[in-house]
Amino acid sequence: MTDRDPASFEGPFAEAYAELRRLASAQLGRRAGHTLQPTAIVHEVFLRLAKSGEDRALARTDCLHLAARAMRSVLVDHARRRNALKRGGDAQRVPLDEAVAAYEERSTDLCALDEALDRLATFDSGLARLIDLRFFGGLSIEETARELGVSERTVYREWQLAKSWLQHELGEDAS
Amino acid sequence: MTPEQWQRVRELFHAALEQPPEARLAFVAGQEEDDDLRRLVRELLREEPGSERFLEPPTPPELLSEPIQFRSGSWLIGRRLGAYRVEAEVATGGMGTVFRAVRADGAYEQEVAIKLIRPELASPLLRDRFLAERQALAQLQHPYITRLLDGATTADGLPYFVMELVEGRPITRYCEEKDLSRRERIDLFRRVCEAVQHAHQSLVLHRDLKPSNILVTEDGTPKLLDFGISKLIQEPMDGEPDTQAPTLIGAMTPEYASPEQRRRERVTTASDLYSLGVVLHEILTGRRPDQPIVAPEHELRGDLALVVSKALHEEPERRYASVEQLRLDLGSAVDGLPVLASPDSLPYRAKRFLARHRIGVSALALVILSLAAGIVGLAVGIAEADRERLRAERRALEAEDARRDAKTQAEAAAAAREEALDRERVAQLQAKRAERILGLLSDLLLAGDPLGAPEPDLTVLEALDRASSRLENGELAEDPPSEAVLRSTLGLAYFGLGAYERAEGHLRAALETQRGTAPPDVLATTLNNLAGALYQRGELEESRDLLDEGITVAADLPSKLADLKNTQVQILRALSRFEEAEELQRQVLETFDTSSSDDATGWLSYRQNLAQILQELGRPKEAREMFESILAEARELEPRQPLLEASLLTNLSGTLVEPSDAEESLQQALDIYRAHLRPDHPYIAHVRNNLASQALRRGDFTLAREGFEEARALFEKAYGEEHPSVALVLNNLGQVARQTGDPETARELYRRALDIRRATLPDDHPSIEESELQLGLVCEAVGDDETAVSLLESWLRRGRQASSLPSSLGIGVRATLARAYSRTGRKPTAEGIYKSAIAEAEEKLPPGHLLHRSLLEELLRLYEDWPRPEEAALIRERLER
Repeated sequence: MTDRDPASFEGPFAEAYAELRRLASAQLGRRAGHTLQPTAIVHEVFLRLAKSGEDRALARTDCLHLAARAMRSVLVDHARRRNALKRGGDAQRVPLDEAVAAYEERSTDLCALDEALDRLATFDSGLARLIDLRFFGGLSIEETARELGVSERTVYREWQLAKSWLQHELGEDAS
Repeated sequence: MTPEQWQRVRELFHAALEQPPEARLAFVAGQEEDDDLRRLVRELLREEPGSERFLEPPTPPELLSEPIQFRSGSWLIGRRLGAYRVEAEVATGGMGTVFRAVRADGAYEQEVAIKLIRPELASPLLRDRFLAERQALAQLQHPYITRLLDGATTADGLPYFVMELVEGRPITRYCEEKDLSRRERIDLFRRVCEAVQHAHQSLVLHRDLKPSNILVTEDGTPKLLDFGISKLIQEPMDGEPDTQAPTLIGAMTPEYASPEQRRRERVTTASDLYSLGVVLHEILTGRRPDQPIVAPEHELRGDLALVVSKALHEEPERRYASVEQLRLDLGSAVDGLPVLASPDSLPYRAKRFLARHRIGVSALALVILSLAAGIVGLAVGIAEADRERLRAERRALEAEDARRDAKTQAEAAAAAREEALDRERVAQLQAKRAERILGLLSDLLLAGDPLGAPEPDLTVLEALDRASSRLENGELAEDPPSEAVLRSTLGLAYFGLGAYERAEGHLRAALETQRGTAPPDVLATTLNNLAGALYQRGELEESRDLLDEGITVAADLPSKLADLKNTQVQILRALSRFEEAEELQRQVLETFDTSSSDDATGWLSYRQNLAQILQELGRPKEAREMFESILAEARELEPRQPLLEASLLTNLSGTLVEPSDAEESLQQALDIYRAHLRPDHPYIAHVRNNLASQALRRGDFTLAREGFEEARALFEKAYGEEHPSVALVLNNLGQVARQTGDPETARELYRRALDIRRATLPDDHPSIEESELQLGLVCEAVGDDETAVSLLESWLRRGRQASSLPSSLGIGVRATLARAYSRTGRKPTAEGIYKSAIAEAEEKLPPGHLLHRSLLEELLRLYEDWPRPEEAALIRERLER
C-alpha cells in the first residue's frame, strides 16, 4: 500500500477531474432520462489515465485512485453547489443531481462524508483510500484486494472498520 | 487522533471481530487499554452491522456490461509456460485471460489456448481439484467440445489451463454476421445440444453456458469452451472468507444463469438447460428474455415459443427432462410435429385444480380442462414411446447393416432413408392415435362448446359414461399407457362432477397400470386423486395408505407433496384430529410457492382449509376473520371464481352468530351453486343441510324438515346410503322429530345414523359418541330402557363429557340413566347415580338450578316407590328448604 495522496499529482488529477466533468455531461446528454452511472465514468477515466499513466510512470493503482478521487471531488463539488442553491430557492434539477442522490442514498450528505474522509486521511490514509476506491471507484472487494495487493479477507476486515468508523463519525445521518 | 492511537483502535477492533458477536464487547472491556480508546472501539463495534447498502457503490454500469477487466498477464507474452510459449493475448473474460501459445519443446508444432485464471479465483486447492476432475474432463471427447489438454500453475502460483485452440466467434455473433435463417439457427443450436447432452451423459456440467463459451468456427462447427472448469472454481473453498461468494457469482454471467444458480442452490443438468434456453432465445429473437423486444417480427410464436419457455421454466423440474429432449422437441417444432412442451399452463393448472379437491371451476370447464390435460398427456407419452421404439428399430437395422458389412456409403444412405421413414411413421402413428382418442372423446367434446354457455351438466355425465363404456369394452386394451392416461382423465372428470364411485373405478384402473411404470409426478397425481375420491366416499383408511405411498413417490416434487399433504389434512379433519390438521395445513401454507402466479386460487383454498380447521377447533372468531379476508381476496380474482366464493360463503356462515346473517350467506352460496352445478351435486346438498339447520335454530320445523329431506335425497344419490353425510342429515331430521314431539321417529332416524357412522368412521370418532348419546336419550324417552342404559353407560365411560362439554349435560345424562335403571328395577344403582349427580350439581351448577331440583325430586320418587320412607323424608326436607 502506498501513502501518496493522489491529489498531489497536480497534473493528472486536474486532468481526471476535467475529464470526469466532461464525460458526465456527455453521457447525460446522450442518455437523457437515464440515471448517470458514475462508476462507469470512473472506469472510463481510469482507462484513459492508465494509458497516459504509462508515460508518466504512474502505478495503475494510483491511476485508479486518481479516477476515484476525482469522481469524489466532482460529486462533492456538485453537492456543495446544490446545497448553496437550495438555500436560494427552487433549483432546476441538473444531470449530476441524480448521481449525487444515488451516492447520498447509500451514505449521507456528501459534503459531510467528504470532510469525514479528509479527517480519516490524517491518521489512516490507507483506509480513506480504500473508501475512495470502493465507494467512489465502484471496485468490488475482490478488485480492491487485487489492486492493493492484499487478501480479500484483509479488505473485508478493513471495510468493516471503515464502515463502522464512518457510521460512528457521521452519527444519525448515516443510513 | 494520532496515527499511533488509531493503530491501537484498529488492532483492538479486528481482534474483537474475531470473537463471537455476543462476546465482543466483553472482550474489549477486558483488554488493558486506555479508557477512551476502549470506549471508541466499543462504539465502533456497536455500529456493526450497518445497513446493507451503506457505502456500497451504486449499481455497476450498464454501458460496461462485463465487469471491468484489468490486464494481469501481459507480462506473460513471450515467456514459457510448461511446454508452451505464450504468443499473444486472445481474450479476457470473467474467469481470466486467454492466450495463444505454441509448443516450445519442439516435439511437434501445435497451437493451443492457455487460460490464466484470475488470481482471486485461484486457490491452493484448485490444482488438486483439477487433478481430481481431470479424469472426467479427459473423457469428454466430442467434436463440438474443446479438449482440455493440461492444467498447472505458473511459477508464482497462478493456475492455468491448456486447451485446444479454437478460432471462432460467439454463436450469437455468428448467427447475425452470417445472416442465418431461423431454420439454420435452430439446426446449429441443436448441434450445440448434442455436445451438452454428451457432457451430461459423462456426468459433467458446464455451469456457465453463454454465447462467449459457445464459439462457432468459420466452417460452421460449434465449439464449446470451458466445460467442467467452472465447477473447479465455483464450489465454495475451505478456509475462504464469506466474501468469496459474491466474487464467484461475479465471475459467472448472471444474464445466463438459471434462477437456482442465482439463488446459489444446487446446480443440475436442468441449470445448463436453462442457460441453453437463454442462448436459444437470444439467437432466435436477437435478445435475451430479460431484455426489451428489439425486433417484433422475430419474436417467438406457436410451438417454438412453447419449447423455449419450457426450457426457461422457473422450476427446474418443469423444464425438459434433458437437453436431448429439448433437442428432439426443437426438431419436432420445426417439422410441425406435436411438441412435448404443450401448453404449460392449461393442463398443469387443470391438474392442480383437480388434484387439490377443492371446488373452483364449473363442472363443464373442469371436464374440458381435464380433457385437454389428458390429451396433452397422451401426446407426450405417445410421442416419447414412439420415438423410443423407432430408435430401437433403427439401432437394430444399423446392427444388421453392419453385420452384412455393407459399404459406408450404403450405410449412410440407409440411415438417411430410415430417418425419413421414421418421421413418416411417427407422423402416421400419431395421426392414427389422435384419431382414435378423438373418436372416443367426441361425445364429450360435442356435449359442450368450450367457449359457449355451459350445457346442462347431465349431458356431460352421460357423455362421460359413454366414453367409459367404450373403455370398458376394451377399445384401448392393446395400449395400456394410453388407457391409463384416459382413465385418470375420466376419473378426474367424474370427480369434478361429484360422481365419486365412478371416479374411484377409473382411478383404480389407472393406478394399477401406472404403478411401477409411470413417472413419479404422474403416479403421485393418480394416488392423490384416488385418495381424494376414497376420502369422499368415506374410505379413510385406504385413502391414508395411498397418500403415504404418494408422499414416498413424490419426495422430490414439492408441488405434488403440497397436494398430497392437503388431502391428508382433509382426512385428519374427517377423523376430528384438528390439532394435527392445523399443524399440517400451516406446513403446507409455509412451503406454498406464492410466487407462481397462476396459483392464487390454490393459495386461497389452502387458507380456507385452515380457517375451517380453526372453526372446528372452536376458534370461531379467528375463523370468521380469516374467511372474510379470503372472501374479499377471492372477489378480486380475475377471472372470478364463483364456486370458490360459494364455498367461502358456506364456511363463513358457520361462524356467524346471527341466524339471519348466516342464512343470507348460505342463500348466496346456494344461488351460485345452482347457477353453476348440476342440480343434484353434493355441494348443493351441503348448503341445503346448513340452511335447514339455521331454520331449526329459529324453530321453523316445517322449513327445516323440508330442507333436510331434500339434502338427504341428494346425499343418498351422490354418495349412496352409507355415508357420513347421510348420517349427518338423518341426525338432523331426528332432531326435528324429537323437537316436534315424535320421539319414535327420532329413535329410528338416530338408530340409522349411528349404524352408518359405526360402519364408516373409526371407533373413537366423536360423531359416533354424539349419535350414541342422542339415541340413548331418545330411547329412554320412549321407554326402551335397556338400550338407553347400554348406550348411555358407554357414552359416560368414554369420559369425554368431563372436559369439553357443559357439566349440566353430563349431569342430565346421568339423571336419564338413573331413570332407566330405576324403571328396570335396579334401584340401588339408580340411587348411587342420582347421589353422585346431585353432588356434582351442587358443586358445579349455580345455586337453585332447575336440574338440581329435578334430580332431588326424582330421587324422592325413587325412595317413595322403593319404599325407603326415612330417606324420602330427608329429601323432602331438603326440597322444602
